[in-house]
Amino acid sequence: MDDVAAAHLNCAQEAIRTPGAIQAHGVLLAVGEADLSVVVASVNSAALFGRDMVGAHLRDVLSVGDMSALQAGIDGDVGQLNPLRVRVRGADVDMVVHRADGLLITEWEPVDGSVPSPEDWQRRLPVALQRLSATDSVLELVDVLAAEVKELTGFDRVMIYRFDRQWDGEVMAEALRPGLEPFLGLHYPAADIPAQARQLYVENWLRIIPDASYTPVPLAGHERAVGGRPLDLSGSFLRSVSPVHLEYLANMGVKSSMSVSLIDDGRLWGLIACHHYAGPHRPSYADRALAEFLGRTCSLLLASKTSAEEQDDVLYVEERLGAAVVALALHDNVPVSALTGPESPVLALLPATGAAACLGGQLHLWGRTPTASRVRELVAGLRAAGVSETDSVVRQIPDADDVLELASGMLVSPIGGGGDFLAWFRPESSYEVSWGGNPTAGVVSLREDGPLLSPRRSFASWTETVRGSALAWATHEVAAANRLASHVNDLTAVRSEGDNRLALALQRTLLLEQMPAVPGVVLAARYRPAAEDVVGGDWYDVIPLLNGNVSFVLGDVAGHGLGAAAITAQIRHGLRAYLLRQDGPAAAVQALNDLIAALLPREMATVIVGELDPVTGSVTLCNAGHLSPLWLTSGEEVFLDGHGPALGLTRDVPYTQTQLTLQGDDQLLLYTDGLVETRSADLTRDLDRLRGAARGVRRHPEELLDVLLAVLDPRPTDDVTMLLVGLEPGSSSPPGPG
Amino acid sequence: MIFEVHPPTGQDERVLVAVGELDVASAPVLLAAVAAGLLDPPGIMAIDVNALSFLDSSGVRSLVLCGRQAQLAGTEFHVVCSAANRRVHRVFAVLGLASALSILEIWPPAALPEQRDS
Repeated sequence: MDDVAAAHLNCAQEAIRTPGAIQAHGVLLAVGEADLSVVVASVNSAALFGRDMVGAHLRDVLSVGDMSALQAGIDGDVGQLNPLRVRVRGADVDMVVHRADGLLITEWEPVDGSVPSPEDWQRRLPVALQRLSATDSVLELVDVLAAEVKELTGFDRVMIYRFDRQWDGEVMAEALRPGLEPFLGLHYPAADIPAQARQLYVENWLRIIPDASYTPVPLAGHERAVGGRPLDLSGSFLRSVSPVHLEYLANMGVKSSMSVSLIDDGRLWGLIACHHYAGPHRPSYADRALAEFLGRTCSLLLASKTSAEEQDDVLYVEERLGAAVVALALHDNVPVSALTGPESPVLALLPATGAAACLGGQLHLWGRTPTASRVRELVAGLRAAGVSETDSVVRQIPDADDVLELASGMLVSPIGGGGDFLAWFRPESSYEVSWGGNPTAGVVSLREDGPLLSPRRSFASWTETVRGSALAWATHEVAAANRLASHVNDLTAVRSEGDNRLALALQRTLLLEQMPAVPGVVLAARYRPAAEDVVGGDWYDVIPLLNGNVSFVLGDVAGHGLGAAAITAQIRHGLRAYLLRQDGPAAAVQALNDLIAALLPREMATVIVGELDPVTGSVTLCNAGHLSPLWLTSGEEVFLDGHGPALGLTRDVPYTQTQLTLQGDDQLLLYTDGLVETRSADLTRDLDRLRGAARGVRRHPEELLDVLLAVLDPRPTDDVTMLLVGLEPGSSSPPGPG
Repeated sequence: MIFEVHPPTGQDERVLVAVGELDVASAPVLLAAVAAGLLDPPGIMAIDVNALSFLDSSGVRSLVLCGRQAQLAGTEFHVVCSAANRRVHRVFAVLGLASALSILEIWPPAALPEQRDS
C-alpha cells in the first residue's frame, strides 16, 4: 500500500502540463504574437522546415497566402482557424494555433501519414447526430457513440467509460474489431486516472498518442520565453505524456491511443477511450475534431437522457409513496396494520432487496435481511456513527462483514424519538470481474489518455474500494423514506388521541410542510379546514420542475373528513408524479382523470394546475371543473374562464390549456369554493365579492391573503384554501400578453 | 339544514324533486331515494333540482353517482334544471356536469327538444 500511495503522490506531482517535450508526429513552434518570430521550437523543426527554427520568422517558411490566412485568424478568433491547412516545402501540413504563456503556440502536423476516414463519413454526420439524439437512454446513447467513433477513426477498440461518484469507472459500451477480447463491463479504480489528469481532461476534450513508441522531442529556446520556465503545454495536442504511461501502453500491447472527454454540467462524466493494437494510428486533425464534436454533442445529450432516466425513478418512488400513504389512510383504525401485513408497502417503496420496520418496539422484516437481532445492532451501530444512510455498512461498522451479502447498503429512517424505525437493505454490488489482458506486476501508472486495462496492482486497489459496497441511495429515495417514516410517526405516536390526530397526519400529506423556494417566484398559501373536520378534501401543491419551471396545484375532492382526505392524498401524489413528467398541465390532468376513472370511480374532484416559467412570466393553466382563478393584473382583476369537466365525470372530453403572462406585480389567485360561497347569494355575486375584495390591492402575497380572508370572512363550516402565485419583485418579464 | 326528496308521481316516468341544500350532508339522502326508485327499474328517471337553494361539489357528485346507478339499472336518467336557478346552473357549468349527465331545461323533454347545458 505504501508503494501505491507513493506512486500516487508522484503522479500528483508530476509536471504533466510542462513536460518540456512533445510527441514526434509534429513540430511545435511558440512565436511572439507581435512579430510572429519563433521563441521556442521543438528540436525536430529542421526535419519539417529544412532549418532550425529558433529565432526564425514564420514568413520565412509560409507562403504569402498562408501568412495572411494565419494573420486573419490571429486577429479574429484563433479557435476558428484550426486547423489551417498550409504548404510547407511542398507538403500539406495542418497547423493548429492557441495561446499560452503570452505566446502563440503553433503546432504543425503533416497530413501525410494520417489515416483517412471513410470517404462518406462527413456525409453521414447528420445521420450520426440524429441517431445519437434519437436514443432513449444513456446506455443506448453511448452504444451509438462508440460505434460512430470507431467508424470515424478506425481504432481497433472504442470504449465508453463512465466515472462513478468515487471516480471509479466502468466500461459502459464498446465497439471493437472482431477477434479482440471485450472489455465491456470491466471496472477500473479511481487511482488509474489521477485527479490532475482528470482536471486536464475537463480543460482539453481530446488527447492522442498516435505512436506509443515515440521518442519525446525536447523543446529548445525555453530560456528566452516566459522567464525561462518550461512552456505550458496543457492546451497542446502534441504534448508529450509521462514515460511511465508509455511503458504502460507498451505493456498492454497498445500501439496507439486516443481519448475524448465526456463532460456533464462541468463535471467529467466519462471518456471515449480508443485503442489500436496493429501499429501506430493517427486519424487526421479534422477527423479528431469530428470525434471531439461527437463527444461534445453526447455530453450535451447526457443531461436530457440522464434526467429522463432519473425522472422515471423519481416517478416510481412518488407513486409508491402515494400508495403507502393511501394504504395507511384506509386502515384508519389501526394504521400500522397496513405496514405489518405481507403486502407491506415498506419494501415496495424503494428499489431494495430487504426492508424492516420497528413499530412499538416490535420488529417486522420483509425480503432478504439480516436476522432480527442483527438488524437492531446494525441500526444502533449506524445511529452511533451518526449516519442514516450508507452504501457501505462496513465503512461505518467495522464488524459488519457478516452481513455484506444482505446489507452492504442501509437506509434508516427513525420514527419519532423512541427507537422505532423503518430500514431498507441493499446487497453488496461487488462481483467477479474478469481482469483480462496483461496483468503486469509493478508500476502504478499515470494514465493520461484514457482508461486502459489495469495492472494487477490496480486490481488490488479496486477490490479494496468495492468490497462491501452497494448501489448508493439516491436523494429522492432518502426523502421518500423519511416522508413515510414521519407519516407513520404521526399515525402511531398519537393513535390514542383518536381521529383528530390521524386527520392532522393526513393533512400533512395533503399540504406542503414548507413552501419550496423557487427562484424568481413568490408563493403564498392558506389552508383552513372546516371547523368540525380538521381535515378536508382541499389540497394545494407546488412542484419545482427540472426544466426550471414550477408547477402549482389547487384542488378540491368532493366530500369532507377522513374519507375525502384519504382520496385526496392519493390524487395529490398521483398528480405530482404526472407533473414530474413535464408534459404540461393538461397532460397531467388528463392522466389524473384516467387514474380516477380507473381506481377511484366513485370520486369527483376539481383542480387547477398551472406551470409558471419564472424567466418569462408565462403561465400555462389547465382547469378541471374548478372555480375560475383570478388574475390580478395592472388595474384590473380578471377571472380566467375556460374549463374542462371536473375529474371523474367523464373520459370523453379532452382537457385544454390556457396561456397568460404575469408581468411586474401581477398575481394569480387560486381558491376553493369555501372562500366565496355564502349559500344565500348567487355564485356570480360571490365571485363579484371576491373581485371587489381584491380590487386595487397589490401587496405582498402573504398580506394579500390575509386581507382577502378578513374581507370575505368565509363561513367556518367550509374548507378554505388559497394559493397565490407571482413573480419576485425585480424579476423581469417581457411585455405583451401571453 | 333542509333537504327533501319528493317521490315521483306517475307510472313509468319518474321525477324526483330535490328541495333545499344538496351538499355532503344531504347527498346520502338523495342517493338512498334514487336507489329505492331503481329497485324496480323504470324506463326513465329524472331529478328536478330547480328547488335547490344550494348545491356543492359533493352534491354534484351524488347526482353523477345517481346517474351511474340508473345506467347500470338500464334506466334513462336526466337532471332537470332551468336557467332561472342561476346558482345551480352556474355550479353545473363550472363543473362541466353536462359532459357526464343529461341536463334538461324543462320537464317533460317532449315539450322542448332536449337541451344541454353548456
